[in-house]
Amino acid sequence: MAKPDQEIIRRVLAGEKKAYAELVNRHKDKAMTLAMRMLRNREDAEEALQDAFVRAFHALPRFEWKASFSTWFYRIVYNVCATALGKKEEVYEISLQEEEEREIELPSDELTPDVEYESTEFHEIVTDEIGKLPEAYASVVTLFFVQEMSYEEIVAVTGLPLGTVKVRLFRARMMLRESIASRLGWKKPVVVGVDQEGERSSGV
Amino acid sequence: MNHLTTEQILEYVDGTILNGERTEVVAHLESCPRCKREVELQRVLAKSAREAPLAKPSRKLVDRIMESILPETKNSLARKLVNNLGNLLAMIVVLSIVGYAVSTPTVWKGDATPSVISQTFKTYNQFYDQVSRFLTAESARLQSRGSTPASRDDGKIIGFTIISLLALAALDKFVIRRVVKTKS
Repeated sequence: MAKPDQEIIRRVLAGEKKAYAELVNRHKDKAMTLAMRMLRNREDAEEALQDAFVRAFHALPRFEWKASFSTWFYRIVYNVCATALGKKEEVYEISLQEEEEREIELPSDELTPDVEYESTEFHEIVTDEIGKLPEAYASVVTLFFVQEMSYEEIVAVTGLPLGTVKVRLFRARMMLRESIASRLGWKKPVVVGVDQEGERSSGV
Repeated sequence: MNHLTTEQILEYVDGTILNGERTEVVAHLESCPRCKREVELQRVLAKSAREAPLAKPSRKLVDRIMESILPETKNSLARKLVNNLGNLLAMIVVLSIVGYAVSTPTVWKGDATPSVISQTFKTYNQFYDQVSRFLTAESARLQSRGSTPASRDDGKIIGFTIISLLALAALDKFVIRRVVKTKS
């Protein structure tokens, strides 16, 4: 069974160009979320989004049918935003440093008190803290959670090595945890690389 | 007691942990409240991240995109005129009726030679007369003695204008706009 996105693409390529509006409507909110988290500015995000949708339209004849439209399209969105940021090279540079910091110890008992996790306040804090993540992490987190992409799909979208994607996502989740613990007043911040007794984690 | 690594916890939460390792992790979680709490926290963090509100672009974004890729959909002067056709027609007709009513008030009484327009408005005029008679009678009853009621022609012009405006607003809303929308 053909995917809904691909059916729309077929119609557009068959000459029904106005059908492209359906594709835009299907993806605009999630794409806007990615653009906003990368560019941190509504006006810039909308401009990037418009640019990405127009580029995607003109590139539709080259669409690879074996790939999903999401992966193909978000690659365009990501590239447009990265270009707008003008710091794509910088994004790549931090990956080596990330690899070295990969070991992050599980926090102590004190850091996970019985909290009403399902509360609206907790969800709002998480949303707020995601918005504060550095762009390199925010984009990966958004692709993973909002676009519900696999590591491999994120690699296809960002062009980053698989290891970097994994590390970045891992780091982002730890940063989120740290900031939430800090905002909720949990007793200690998470210690990066060293556990509570000053030793590295050995795992199970 | 060795606890689970954060990676194991995240893989377990994401459902990407390998089957062999999964059994080990599940067994550990049954006896370790600390790791169990961490799993719960990471699970809720992931859920919150997935369900975080999406940013919504402005309503005009889709129009701007479609205008960029399909230049023919751009709002040209002609298209703007078509889009406002209802309003333009309403203005023209209302002004015509008012002007006609002011310049030839006797036509409705049948004293002048019937024109094409007067024939067209004959039914409308009859309806108006009935309403006008009722309103005039009511007005006279309510007027205090000594005051000067408005002339019949003045009342007729105002009445025509109001009824025409309402009729044209309805025509614009329910007919013209739908026709324009369907054509576009």
